[in-house]
Amino acid sequence: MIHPLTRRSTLGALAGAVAAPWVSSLPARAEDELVVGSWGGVWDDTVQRAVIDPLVAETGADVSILPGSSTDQFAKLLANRDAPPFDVLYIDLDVALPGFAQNLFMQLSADDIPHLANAYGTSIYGNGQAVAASFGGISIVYDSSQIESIDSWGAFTDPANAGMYAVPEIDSWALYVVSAFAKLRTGDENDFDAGWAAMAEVAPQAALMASDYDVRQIFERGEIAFSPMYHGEAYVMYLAGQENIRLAKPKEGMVAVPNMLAIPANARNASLAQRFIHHALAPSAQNIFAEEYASAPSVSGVSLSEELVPWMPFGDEEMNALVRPDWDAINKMRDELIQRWNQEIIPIVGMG
Amino acid sequence: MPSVRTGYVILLGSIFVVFFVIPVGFFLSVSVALYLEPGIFDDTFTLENYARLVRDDYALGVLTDTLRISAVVTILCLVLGYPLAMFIARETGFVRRAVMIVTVASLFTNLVVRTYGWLVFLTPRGLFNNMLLDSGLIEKPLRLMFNETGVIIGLVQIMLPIQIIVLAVSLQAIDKVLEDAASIAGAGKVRVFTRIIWPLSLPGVISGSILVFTLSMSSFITPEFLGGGRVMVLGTLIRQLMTRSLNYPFAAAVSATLLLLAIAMLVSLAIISRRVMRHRGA
Repeated sequence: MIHPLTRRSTLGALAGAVAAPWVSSLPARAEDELVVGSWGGVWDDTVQRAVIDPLVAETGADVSILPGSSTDQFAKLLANRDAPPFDVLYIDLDVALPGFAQNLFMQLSADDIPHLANAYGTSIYGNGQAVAASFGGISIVYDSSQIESIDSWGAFTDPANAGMYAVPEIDSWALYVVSAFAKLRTGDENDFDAGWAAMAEVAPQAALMASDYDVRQIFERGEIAFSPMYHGEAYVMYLAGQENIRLAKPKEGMVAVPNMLAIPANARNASLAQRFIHHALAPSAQNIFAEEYASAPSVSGVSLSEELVPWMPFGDEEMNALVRPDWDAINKMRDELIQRWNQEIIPIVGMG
Repeated sequence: MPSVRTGYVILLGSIFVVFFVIPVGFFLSVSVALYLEPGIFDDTFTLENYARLVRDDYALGVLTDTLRISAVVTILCLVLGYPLAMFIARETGFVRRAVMIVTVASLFTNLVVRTYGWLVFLTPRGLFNNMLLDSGLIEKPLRLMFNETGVIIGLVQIMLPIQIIVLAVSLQAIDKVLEDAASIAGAGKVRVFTRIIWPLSLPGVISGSILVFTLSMSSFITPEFLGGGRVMVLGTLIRQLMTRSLNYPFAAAVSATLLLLAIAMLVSLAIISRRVMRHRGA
């Protein structure tokens, strides 16, 4: 049970009392102003074109983006749950779960968001507190000039590939990849011990440990042949001129990453936020995200170019094979797992 | 009608409360909250988060690593900074001004930019390793990045100007007549240094060292970038607890401990300085 936060409430009240003379003189946020919490970079450019531009054309709203990682945004929301700094936000599933547990988000309804009626059942999360705006996946990205093809997460455990790959940082996709290794070893993505043991075998043979951002530069320098990565980043690299970059479709499946949208329970402009989600779920927006970021649609009735098929999880077989980690279970161990990563995995990376 | 002075006191008091008391009070209150699971905690009072810092070998290891790295950086800054500070204090004219400007200028360069500079310079295929490889001094690149060596190099470069400036001010205050008198009385250069210059520069040595130690202890950007995830110090641990573990109460407890250590260092600076000044007065 979560008790009222009395000490913090007292401090908040004190802060309010002291700040009131200044705050009351500040201009209130306009009715037609919408703040979108988003992830930054190319993603925000795509959000602007696919969602914000049509929303502004329809409503004339003043829309701004507040960039940040899911964990940053969640911390801001938790500290300002009565006056969230954004009206709608993109958030990762593993971070959103504690928000669902604390009812930090509004219930979404097709009455307010008509396009929500077209969302797949698997696109709805937190009993209706969030919807996937699109789907991505963690997969293996490779340089086809160095390695012909990859069709399994077993590429990491193949001794012939020692020194040719990077492993992810705990700050990026490490826990996702441990789930993929678990499925590789036992067929069960939630057999975390098996996944961890595989990671402990793989890490010493890695060339290095890196984030997605670092991996892009490392691929450019030709220092590795393959690495776990968010699939959309591979497509962006390819579009940017790294023509040897390819996305592997491992037979064990990519790790599912729903790109979720949620509205904070006390959002100042909930009606505009609902309109934002409506536009994000429109077929036109889904197409733009597919074409610019290789994001797989989360609603029915979207037709995609065949050229995009190699760059995203596509079709029943690939969608059914997706690795779907039990984030509730992982979150219960998260603190311990991160500490174990620091102690057990980091010291052995590249030491094989 | 309230006087101008009363209004001034209220204004300053409000600023102090808003910018210092409330934020610190907020995170101290979180530091004694009960962690339930990632992103969830409640208001039950507990000292468990502080107990973990002492009981948990890993957290304790990060704390001692932080103190050890800070101590190494402080010693290196003192050893490297003292001769340069002496030069600045004793020289006059253009050369002195030029050295001073170059020293101070690095403080005005963005910390992230300076740290990225080291990333480019020290990387296995970077300028430094290429120079050594080309000259035949080494056969394979040195590992100067993503380890403690890289973090210490980066921190020393960042802290060195601070140590130099504090030392130079202290050395400049020493009356040259004292050294001349010692020399006339037959003291050699080493003796003049050990008996006159070093003791009189001690307030600067202590102030600069405590400043460097405190700033190194709370550093985040340099260990984050140059440590490459392999070197964990208190700053990077707090970041990881906040952004990955979502364990806000423990992150707040580690932050509070860091704050207490910094305050302890500053208090000891005040006590030592007072004793040194009293000793000199006597």
